[in-house]
Order: sequence, then structure tokens, then C-alpha cells
Amino acid sequence: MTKIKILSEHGVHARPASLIVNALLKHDCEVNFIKDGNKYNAKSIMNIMGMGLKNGDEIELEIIGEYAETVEKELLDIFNELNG
Amino acid sequence: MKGIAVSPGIGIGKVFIKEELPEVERRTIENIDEEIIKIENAFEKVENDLNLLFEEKKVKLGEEKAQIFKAHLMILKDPEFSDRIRKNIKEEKMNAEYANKLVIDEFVNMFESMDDEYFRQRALDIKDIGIRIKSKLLNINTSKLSEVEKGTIVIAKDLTPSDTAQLNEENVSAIITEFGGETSHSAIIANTLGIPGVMGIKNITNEFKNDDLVIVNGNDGTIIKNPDETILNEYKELLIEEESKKELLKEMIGKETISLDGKKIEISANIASLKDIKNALKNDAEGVGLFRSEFIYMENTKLPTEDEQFEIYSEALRRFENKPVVIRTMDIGGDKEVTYLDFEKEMNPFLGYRAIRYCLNEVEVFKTQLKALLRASVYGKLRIMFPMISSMVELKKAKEIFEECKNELKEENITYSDDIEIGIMIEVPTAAIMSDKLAKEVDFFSIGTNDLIQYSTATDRMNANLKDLYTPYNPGVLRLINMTIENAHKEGIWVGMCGSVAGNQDLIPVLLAMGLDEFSMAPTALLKSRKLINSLNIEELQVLRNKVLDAADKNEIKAILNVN
Repeated sequence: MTKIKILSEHGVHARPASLIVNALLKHDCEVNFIKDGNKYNAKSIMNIMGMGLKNGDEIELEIIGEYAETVEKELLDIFNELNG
Repeated sequence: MKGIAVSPGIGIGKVFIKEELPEVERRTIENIDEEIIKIENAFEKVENDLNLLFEEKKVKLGEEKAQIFKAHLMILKDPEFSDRIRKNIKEEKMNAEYANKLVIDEFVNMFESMDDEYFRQRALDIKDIGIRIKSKLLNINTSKLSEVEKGTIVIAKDLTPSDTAQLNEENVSAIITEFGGETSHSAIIANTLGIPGVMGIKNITNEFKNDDLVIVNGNDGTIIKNPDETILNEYKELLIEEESKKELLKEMIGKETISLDGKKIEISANIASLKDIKNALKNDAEGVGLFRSEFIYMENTKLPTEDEQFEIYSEALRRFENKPVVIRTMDIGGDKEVTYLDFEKEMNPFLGYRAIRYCLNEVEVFKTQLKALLRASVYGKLRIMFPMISSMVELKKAKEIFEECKNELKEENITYSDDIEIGIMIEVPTAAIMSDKLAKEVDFFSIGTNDLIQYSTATDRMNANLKDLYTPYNPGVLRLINMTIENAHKEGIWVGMCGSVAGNQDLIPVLLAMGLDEFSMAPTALLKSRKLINSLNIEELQVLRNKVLDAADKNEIKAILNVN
């Protein structure tokens, strides 16, 4: 499973979370972030913000459904940009 | 109708009622589909509102500020959110209102329990959306205070600090509330912003509906609902008269405040935040006589840091250039609550754990503020004032901590001004009585009449039933003031006054005769006070002063001063 490390200074706040959700809503597949064994629906801004992701946190990515690779690439691009 | 006049001026306009939403209760529903349709309709309406708000604010405030409504939209459309509400309706046969409340509460709790301040703040966004949905479900329109049109009269049960923070003084012509009196938080804000206000009218929100025409007379507390043509014209003329008086007073701008026999007086403004500085300068304040720093604490969600406070104090000092700015160290407790500080509920909060008493116990909190003040002191002429001093012990302790802060900054090579005056508020009767001794330890006194009246007459100033007892015309109060001024002058220090009495046009001559050196008041009272002082001869007023000090009761004093 792909791992992502959060490197942006302020973690994942409302704006980054909204970027992620906006990108994912265009796709039909199910996307989950996994942190400390808990699964979070990545299409839910409240779930993402509820994870309280801070600089240095690590999450795993789970994508189920069509075009999983495209979605993964898109997500990684967003995180790369956020991580600066 | 008549209430307590808390902020002078006349307002004519259309009513806007700040609606309070009722609590929702859990009901078991029969028709699940109907309830689902209800919640979906509510969601759709809120979505429309948010889209409109986004477009509107984008034009007015710019894309970035409007972005908050996009974020709210996203929370609204969050699948997790609507699914949970639907699930509650379907599985628990719960009414839509309660299902919404439960899910909102869950998310709010989740965010509030997070240890990052940013995320805790997001709980407010979710609450906001919850209120929007709730109001659609209940079919109650809750437009916001910040969005009212020009010429609006705001009517509310009570206005909280977050309500008043949204008030746009350009658009609000007057305020009427059910709760509160002359010295309540909303009265202070109305005064500073120059908005006429009447308070303490029972059931006021039920007496009116939105868009009713109303006249508010903040000079005598009169409210006239749907006035006829004659009365309306009468008040319109009064309003024009007031405006032209204000216009006339502008000739006082730029003049000094000096009595006919040549005593230079300082008239300065009471402010609660940086926002108030504009109005103070517009009215030619000669400085700030009271910066209520506790508002920085009250309008925050956590204790403000040294840096945050430094920014605020230094900006205030800079904007007043070299005019003196008296900053009162935080005066919380009593009627001024700070939600994030765990104060125990007390039987008598005004007599309890508050102001300097709290600061001397929570020394770190106090030192944070004092260091921020010291660092800011190089940007202007700073005066620091301690509130609620009741004994020499407290004053000495406060000064000791202040010296400690100086030493700590010195060690870190941080500069501060050597020219900071230190003063205390005289608002506890024992401080007034002991003012001869206290005067030896400070550079100035500032008499806080609101509390001095309350404490010396043992009258709760928030209790509307005691209105007659709570009065500055009580001769005992005036004697305490006179004694304080005499004692201060014997020690060669100056005395100011920052309670609402300082702007009282009927009492200014008496105070002037007693020797008061500085008057600090709501910005809107400044120019007329300057005009009055410049027309008075202090020497000649001594007869009046002696008569007042010799009077036996308030009626006698009011008769001497020709007050109703």
C-alpha cells in the first residue's frame, strides 16, 4: 500500500482537505486514508479534517475501484504540491 | 414603550430582529420518506444560500475572504455528514431536526477535543452550518447581523461579544435589547461606536416584527413603534438638529481643552479594541484614558500570546503617536466572562475572583501581558493601570511582578521605555479611603465610577430593580471622589476618571471644581465635553462644589445641578 508523509508546515487544514475532496469527487472509486489502523473516507472533508493530520504524520492510501492508478497519481501530485 | 437609555442619539429605521432558535426535541416519526425529503429540502436551501453568499462576498471582500463559504458548502455536501443524518432518520425513526442536531454535535465534539487550536476553531464552522440547516428545518429566517442594510434598528434579547463584533456601525441606526443596562457589554460597545441604544425592555423581541418602522431615542429611552406622520416628522427634525449639533461641534476639533481660568484638561477616549481607535481619533481624543484589554481575552478562543498582545498594544501606541495611552491590565470576572478560562461559578462574582486578584494568582498570565506592554512601550507614550486594587498589599505585589518582568527583559536585551507611568483604578471604596497612602506608590489614579458606585452603595449595577439606588448623585459617592482627588494632589500625582460619569455633562462642572485632571469617555462625548469645559471657570465653580459636597441626598444634588 502506498504511504504518504505529511510535510506541509500546518498539516492538512480546511484548504488542503478541500483540494483533496474536490479532486476525488470526480471519480467513482472508493478512497480511504488509513492512520493508526483507522480508516477514513477521503471524500469526506470532515473525515479528513477530523484526522487532524499534522506535519510529520504518515498515512496509507487505499483505493478500490476503476482507474485506481490515475487517482493515486492525482492524489500524490496534490500532496507533493502541499508538501512544497 | 420605555427602557434604559444606554447610548445617546436618535435612530429611525426598520427593525431587524435577531432570532433565537428554539431547542429541538427528539420525536419518533411515522413517515420516514417525508422526513428524508424535509432534510434534503433544507440541505438544498442552505446550499443555495451559501452559493449566493459566496458570489456576493467575492465581489465585496474578494475571493480569499469568500472562500469560507466554499468550505462551508463542502462540509454541507460531505457524504459522511448527510449519510449519518439519513441513517439516524431511517434506523432510529428520528425527526430531521434532532438527527441534524445529533450529527452536528458529534462533529463539533470531535473537533473541539482535538489538541490543535486550528481544528478546534473548525467546530465553529460546523456549528454555523448546523444553525443554517436547523433554521431551514424550522422555517425561521436567521439572516446575520453582519448582513443588515443601512438604516437598520437591531432588536435582540441580548447581544454577545461575537454579535457586537459583527455589527456594522454604518448600517445600524440603533439597538434595542431585552437584557442589559447602562454598564453591560453591549452598552459599552454601542457607546464606543456611537450607536444609540435602549435596553432593559421585557419581551421586546415579541413586540416587533422585521421591517416594522421604529423610532429609538437613546437620550431618554423612548421607543415608538410604527409612528404616525406627525411624530415621525418631529423626530426626523430632532435627528437633523442632532446632526447639525454634531456638525457644529466639529469646530472644537484641533482646539485644546482648557478652562476659562486657564487649567489645561486632558480629555481622552475609552476603547475596547483597535477597531475603536478610528472613532476616537475622528473625535479628536487627546489620548486613551482606558483601553479595556480584557476584550482581547474575551474575543479570543484561548489566552492571547505575548506576541499577539504586543502587536495590538504597539499598534495602539503608534496610532496615537505621542499622545498617552492608558492600558488597563485585564479586568475579567464579574460580568466579563472568558469562556476558555475555568472560573468557578460564584455567589457574588463582582466581589469574587477577578481582575488583579486573578492576575496576582496566575502570575504567568499576568507576566505575559506585562511583558507585551513593556515591549510595546517604545512605540509611544504608555501608561499602565491596575484594576480592582483594594489594598496596598496588592499594589506592591503587582509592582513587584512588573519589576520582575523588566529585569527578565533586560537580561534578554529587549528594550522598553523608561518613561512608563504606573497607575491604579480607584473603584473599591477602601482604595478611595486609603488614597493618601496609595498615592505615594503610583504616578496616577483613574476613578472607575461604575464599580465605585456599585461597591460603595452596595448596589448590583446589573439589577434593574435597583436602578434608583445605583446613581452617581449619591453624595457619599461624590465625597469619595472628592477625597481621592484631594489626596492625590497632596502627593503631586494627577487624577483621571474613566467611568461613565466622566462624560456626564451635568457632573463635569462639579468634577472640574474638585480638581479632576483627566476625563476619559466614549469617543462621541469628547467634543461636547471639550466645549463645555472651555466655557467654565473653575474658580467660580467652587461654590457649586461646596454646595454639592454639603448636600444630604441625591435629590438635593440633582436640584442644585438642575438635573431631572
